[in-house]
Amino acid sequence: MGAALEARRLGVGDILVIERDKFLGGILQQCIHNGFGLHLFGEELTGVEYAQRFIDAMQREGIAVMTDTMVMEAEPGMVRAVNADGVHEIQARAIILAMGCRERTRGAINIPGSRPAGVYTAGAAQRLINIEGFLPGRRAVILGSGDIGLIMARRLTLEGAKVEAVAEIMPWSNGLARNIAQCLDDFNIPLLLSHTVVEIHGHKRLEGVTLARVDDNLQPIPGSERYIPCDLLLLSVGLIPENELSRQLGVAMDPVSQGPVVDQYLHTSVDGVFACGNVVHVHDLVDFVTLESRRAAAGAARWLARPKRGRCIPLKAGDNVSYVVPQRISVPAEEDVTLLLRVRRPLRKPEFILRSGEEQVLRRVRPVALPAEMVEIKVPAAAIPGAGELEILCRGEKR
Amino acid sequence: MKTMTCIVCPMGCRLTVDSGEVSGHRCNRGRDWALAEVTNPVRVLTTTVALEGGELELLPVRTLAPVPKAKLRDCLRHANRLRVKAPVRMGQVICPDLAGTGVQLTAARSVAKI
Ligand code: SF4
Repeated sequence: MGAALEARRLGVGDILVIERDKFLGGILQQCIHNGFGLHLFGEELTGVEYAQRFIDAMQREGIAVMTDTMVMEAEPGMVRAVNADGVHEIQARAIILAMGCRERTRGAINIPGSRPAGVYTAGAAQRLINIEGFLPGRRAVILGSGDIGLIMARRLTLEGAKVEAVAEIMPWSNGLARNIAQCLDDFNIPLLLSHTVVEIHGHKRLEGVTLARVDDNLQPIPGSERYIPCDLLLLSVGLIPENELSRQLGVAMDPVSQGPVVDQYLHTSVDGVFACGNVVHVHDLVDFVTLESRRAAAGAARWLARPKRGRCIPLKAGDNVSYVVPQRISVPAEEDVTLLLRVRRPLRKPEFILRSGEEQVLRRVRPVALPAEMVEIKVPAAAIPGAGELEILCRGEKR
Repeated sequence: MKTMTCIVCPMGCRLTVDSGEVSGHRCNRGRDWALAEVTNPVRVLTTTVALEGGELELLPVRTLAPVPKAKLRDCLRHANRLRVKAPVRMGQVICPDLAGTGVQLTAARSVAKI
């Protein structure tokens, strides 16, 4: 919706938004908690309110929408979608991918033990509670301290369940500090860092889990096991961009961000195909998703006006940087370029250096950098060289 | 002396309050919040209420302003007793005074009638 509205603002006439759900807004519709919109609207909204503002704007602008519609396949210039009315072939000179992300599931994190009912991803439980009105358990353990897990710890508590603990395998949490404060500390829910679930008990229904402390290599420490009875285990072990359609389109992917390789216009490797939001890389805040979607819309509008691509120079993620978006820059850069990146480990006084070969192009220092917090760096157009290779790296003290 | 994590914005600054003096904040909203937190901590409550005749059976709602932390349970109990009839517009007042806090409970989204 962010991209559609921006494209309209930029004068694009013929826009269609395709949504597989019944309502627009994606995952925001189950995010009934507040914490959204501070950057964009200067006030704190719930996820649903954030979505509703865009839905209302879409209606005001008269932008066409197809809900309950699934895109089956796409190729440059054409999208094939299916809904109750049948199959639709839609011509589009620019396509913006905005499928978001999905949760990692249990298969991705092999826990020994049986496979009883009562094990959910945090997002699935969120949907059950906030949309279906069904409380999936009364005594819960949460594995993983991502924001959804933290939010669900509070939500379960408010709905009358007891949350025994949030276990996090890493020595730090990937959730926002404010969520640890207002979702765990407020309700005296313990956050067990360097802990994981080593066994799941129960046959038909979950009966309990065994937690253990892990060592520096994330291996369970023998003798540290502890049994906790529970009928609900929530997994909040990370999100992965949802790129089935992008792969089918033949878009080049970044193995670290797990999203398409894009330039500063969010243009993928396939002409006329753009991508934005959590499909490109998992964002911390929806506000940043919206800002990125606007850049993608601007890129698409520019492409519609002049379907020609310049040369691209690669931008590599160097020391301490796990990934950077965009992964390449179209030159000559006409406008300032926004870089979004994540560091590999928590660093104090990180110094971000953008360099072209041995030459330093830009240097930025921040007070701290955490893997959980996306770093934004604006690079003036004039600083971007017309050729060669760029690398962004980070130096800092370990914390 | 009391230390806390500011929850006003996603920056999550570590704040310290020492005999009425706040440190560690990056903005005045954080300072005001810390002062309130040591005297009367407040939170925005978000939950769902039963909805009749709408495209959904649950309506997400929020308190328009933060309510005292100590009254969260009462507020929740009050909200759980409410029943709303569709259609609803975002921002519509669902309850003018939640559990005697004087704070309004409002609809977080619009839901059409079926
Ligand atoms: S002090 Fe200001 S900047 Fe820091 S978390 Fe609080 S509101 Fe945000």
